[in-house]
Amino acid sequence: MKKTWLVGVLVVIMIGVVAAGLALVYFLPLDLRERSPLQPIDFSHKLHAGTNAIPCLFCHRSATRSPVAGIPAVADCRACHQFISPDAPEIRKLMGYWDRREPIPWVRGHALPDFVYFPHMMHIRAKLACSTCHGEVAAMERVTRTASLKMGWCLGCHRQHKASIDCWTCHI
Amino acid sequence: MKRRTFLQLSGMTAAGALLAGCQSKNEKLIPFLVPPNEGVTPGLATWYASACRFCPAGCGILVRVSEGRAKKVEGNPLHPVNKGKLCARGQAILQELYHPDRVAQPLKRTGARGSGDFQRISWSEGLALLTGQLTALQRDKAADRLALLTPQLRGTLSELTTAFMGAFGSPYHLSFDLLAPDWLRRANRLNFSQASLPFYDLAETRYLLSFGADFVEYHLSPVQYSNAFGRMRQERDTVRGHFTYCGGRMSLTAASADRWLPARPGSEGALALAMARLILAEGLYDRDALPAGGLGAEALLKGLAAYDLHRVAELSGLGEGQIAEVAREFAATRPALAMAGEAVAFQTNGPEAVRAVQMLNLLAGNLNRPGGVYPDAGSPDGPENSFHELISLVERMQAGRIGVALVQGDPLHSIPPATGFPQALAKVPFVVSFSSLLDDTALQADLILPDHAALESWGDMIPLAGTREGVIGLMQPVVTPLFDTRQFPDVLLAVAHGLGGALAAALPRHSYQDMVKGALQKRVGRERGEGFEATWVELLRQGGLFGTSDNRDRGRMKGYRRVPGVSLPEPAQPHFAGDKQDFPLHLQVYPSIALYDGRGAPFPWLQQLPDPMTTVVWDSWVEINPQTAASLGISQGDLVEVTSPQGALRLPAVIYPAIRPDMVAIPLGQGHHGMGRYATGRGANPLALLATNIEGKDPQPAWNATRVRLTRISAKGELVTAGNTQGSFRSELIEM
Amino acid sequence: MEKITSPYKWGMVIDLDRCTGCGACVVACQAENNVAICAKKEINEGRNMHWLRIERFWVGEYPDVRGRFLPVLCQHCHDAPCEPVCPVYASYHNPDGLNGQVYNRCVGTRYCGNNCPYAVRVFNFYDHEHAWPKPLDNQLSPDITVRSRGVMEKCTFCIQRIRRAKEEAKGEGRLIRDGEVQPACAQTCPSEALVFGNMADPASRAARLARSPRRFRLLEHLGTHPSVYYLKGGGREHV
Repeated sequence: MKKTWLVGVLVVIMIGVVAAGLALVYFLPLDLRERSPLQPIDFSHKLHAGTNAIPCLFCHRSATRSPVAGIPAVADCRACHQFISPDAPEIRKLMGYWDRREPIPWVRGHALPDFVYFPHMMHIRAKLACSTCHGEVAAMERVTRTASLKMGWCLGCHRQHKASIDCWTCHI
Repeated sequence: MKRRTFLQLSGMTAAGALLAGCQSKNEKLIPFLVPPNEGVTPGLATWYASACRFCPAGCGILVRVSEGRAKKVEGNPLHPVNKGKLCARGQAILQELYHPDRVAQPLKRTGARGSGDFQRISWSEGLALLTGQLTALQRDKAADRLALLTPQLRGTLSELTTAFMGAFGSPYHLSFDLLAPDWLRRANRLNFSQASLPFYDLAETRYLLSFGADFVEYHLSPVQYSNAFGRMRQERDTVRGHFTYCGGRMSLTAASADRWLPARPGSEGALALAMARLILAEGLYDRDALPAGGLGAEALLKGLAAYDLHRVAELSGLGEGQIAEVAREFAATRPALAMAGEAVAFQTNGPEAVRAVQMLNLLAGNLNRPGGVYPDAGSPDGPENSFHELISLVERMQAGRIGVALVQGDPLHSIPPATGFPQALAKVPFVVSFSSLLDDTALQADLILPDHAALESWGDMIPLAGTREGVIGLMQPVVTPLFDTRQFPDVLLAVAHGLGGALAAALPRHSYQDMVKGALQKRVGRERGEGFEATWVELLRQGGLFGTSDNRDRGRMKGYRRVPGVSLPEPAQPHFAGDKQDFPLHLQVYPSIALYDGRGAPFPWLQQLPDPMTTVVWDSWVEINPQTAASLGISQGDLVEVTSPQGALRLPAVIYPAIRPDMVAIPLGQGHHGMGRYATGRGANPLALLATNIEGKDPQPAWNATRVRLTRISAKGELVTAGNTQGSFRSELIEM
Repeated sequence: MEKITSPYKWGMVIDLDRCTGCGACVVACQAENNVAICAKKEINEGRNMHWLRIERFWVGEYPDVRGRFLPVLCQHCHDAPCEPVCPVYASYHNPDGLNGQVYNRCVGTRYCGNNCPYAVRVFNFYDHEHAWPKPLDNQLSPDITVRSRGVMEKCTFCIQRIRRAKEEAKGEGRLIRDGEVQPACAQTCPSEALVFGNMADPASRAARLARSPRRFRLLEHLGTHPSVYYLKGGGREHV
């Protein structure tokens, strides 16, 4: 008799825990791993874009003319770091990739689903700052996504700027 | 384990699973190792100009390449032959590049021939095998035991193969295409003493009379002539060109005609001469043209006396009034144009019938005139009787006098077996194939040295026809080669240098790319002087050398002038293989618009493309007139056996209202034993039914001179059509 | 809801007198739009995925028989029967006068396909991932979605090309020029039977052709007001 009661309480507690967990996942930005992924090399945007004030477009150079912003080729990283602190441990990792002729498997922090078409050049042409969507990257050691990148968030901005809200603008 | 711990644990696992399920896997963002060339932006497509080598028309193409992968093939607007347009086949060459069953590296046969058992070997091994065989021939002073079989080649590749075979010391280079226009070159040689192909100025003509010339599907330069046809119909403000088609089966081209004359097979030549006779008798001919051709109306009329309207009407099964009406319209409308095509030429009286059709052009005075016929500048000369070469090579092979055969293409599928070619090839001890798919020939080969796909290749592509200016299209690789393959000409060069001696001396360059570049430099050098590197880049960018007034070609491209004293065409009674009692129906084979002579079969886009006339997909079929079908108890989709004196095939039936009741037709293209997953074992190859020795005569390429009979087998033809075979709408609703 | 206006009304004119029925447009469409390759069995079940098909009609009987061709693609109707029946607004009317289909919104009720008098909407009955065995998948265009099972799809007048042209024109501060953007079918058509253009611009080639006395629209009596105009094919009149 006592045991049955115990099992009942356990089941209720378990359902409660699961519900609380679900609620947490739903309300809190718990997708930390996705928002701020660990990268194969501890690249600091704060150091590059903040302290050294390198413009975003210096490395993400196709953002003005292509749908994708582009990330620098390993050779590009190496071009500078042959001379700039070549002995730092993270730079050694970088050189390791270069020596093995492997591209660096960076992890995407700002990913959109396949059915969304997002052209970088149109947004730069509309004079939006990179930080509007990407946050103050210049102040981040490791890039953390600050915007939700959900459709409502996109539409809010599009409405505000009187940009097209035709479905086929983004979903083709 | 206590129950309590178990429950605790399972609860935690469940919650954990839920949490994990809500997190998506992070995608990777892979950078370039080395940045791409200037001008390539990630996320933006690049277009590279190249040339299509699917069929001899040699259209110019642009290939859209995104992130190093070819995505789409489009027509090159700068190319004078296709002017930015492209046919279905040309677009499908993308699937040659990315075909899932490509031969990825050289293969050596391990099992019996045809078993498909091969062992992967390296290129050095493969080349050593081939060089070993050739060295053995040289050692035995038996260089003429080498044979090279290719489709008809032009440009640098042709020079290379000629030099290779010449320096090796073997005259047996067979360049054979089932559909090659040898017959047209031969007729022009006889009539005008030049073997050029004709350029028909369709766009400017007002009356087009086609005798079995299917220019929409495959005749000479289909994209060029389809485009010209569109302009003939609707480009001029007040003139709409008329089109009459004459032929026993309504082809796709004929479906666009205003009038269809279903003449009995083999009677077309006589029909043309009957029209000529009427035009002469009624004085409707061009007054200046006859003396220019060295002819007098009186003498000509006398020479054509045998072709009176009544007799020809009986021969052709057409009405006298009908024939006279067309003849009068043809003569009264200027400019008017007559074309002869494969359906006519591949009869026993074909060569003469083609000349008979040309007689109409002479009478209409349209030689070298707008809206008429000019000599084509595409490739002004070429083989004129490659079928004869095929037969003599087959005899040599049969006699065991060929030791090594190098085969490019798939002759086992595209040469009618009645020529004895399959048995002959089986007698050759060492067969090398260069196919990029395991096609019928490659399956019988001892060594396969896989070629690049067209989009990975260098080359120059000289269009067969369809232009009045000298054109050299350039092929360049648009992507890095996918597999460990090598281009056919590069293999020949490697072999030449491996053998050394006269071969290496005859072919000094080490790469085909250099040869092509050298050829272009020689061509351009005469016109533009030094600094070729920049010119080369520019030529590659625009896709070739266009709009050049090359002196050599211009000198040769004299207008057509009838050779004085040449005999009048005499299309004799046609002969057919098969007794009329046993085999009551004429068989016509024709290239399917999607699969051409069979080389389109491995590409699923083309297999899935509904045949325009029948809407059949993924199959081959036999077309039967409804009346004939009813008399034999055959309905749409039934499995039917087609029997000729040469063999029998089973095919699904298509009830085809636009074919003569005494005729049936089967498309070419299917019936492969290999060629990848999309083509293997699909449909049937009608070439198996064709006879070449017709009524005891010497072998001839009379592909439409075989008679057959039909037997219904069952209702299960497994015919699949893409739509309602009668169209989805009631035709009066769409006011066509 | 704010009202969106557009300087474009895309339309197409198909000259049946030029059309030879060759099928180049069908393959061009399939190549450009990642349209799935369908096996014989799927087509046998009526589940062909072509967005553009060529209808063939036999007129008359032997020997006075003629074959006529009619390329049929989405007519982009201005009063489209497909649009109001979609319960999730996946099928909608675009400001440029196109019938849109939003794949990520579609739940696959197939009401739209059922309501379309032209039968130009196709449904993904199968997961077509197997349609592109490696390395054939390399041919897939990155510019548009690969549709999954359970989704309705259709001709978009090659919206990805229109989009790219718009982006280019906007960068140069102008409107799209006539002839600058062409769907894959019109681009490849050997006989130039298909002409695409901006019907809102009366000087565009398409708009001029659409005023031809030969024009008609498919099933016009239904009042769907299609954006595709056909020009009547040749009769027996000649010269």
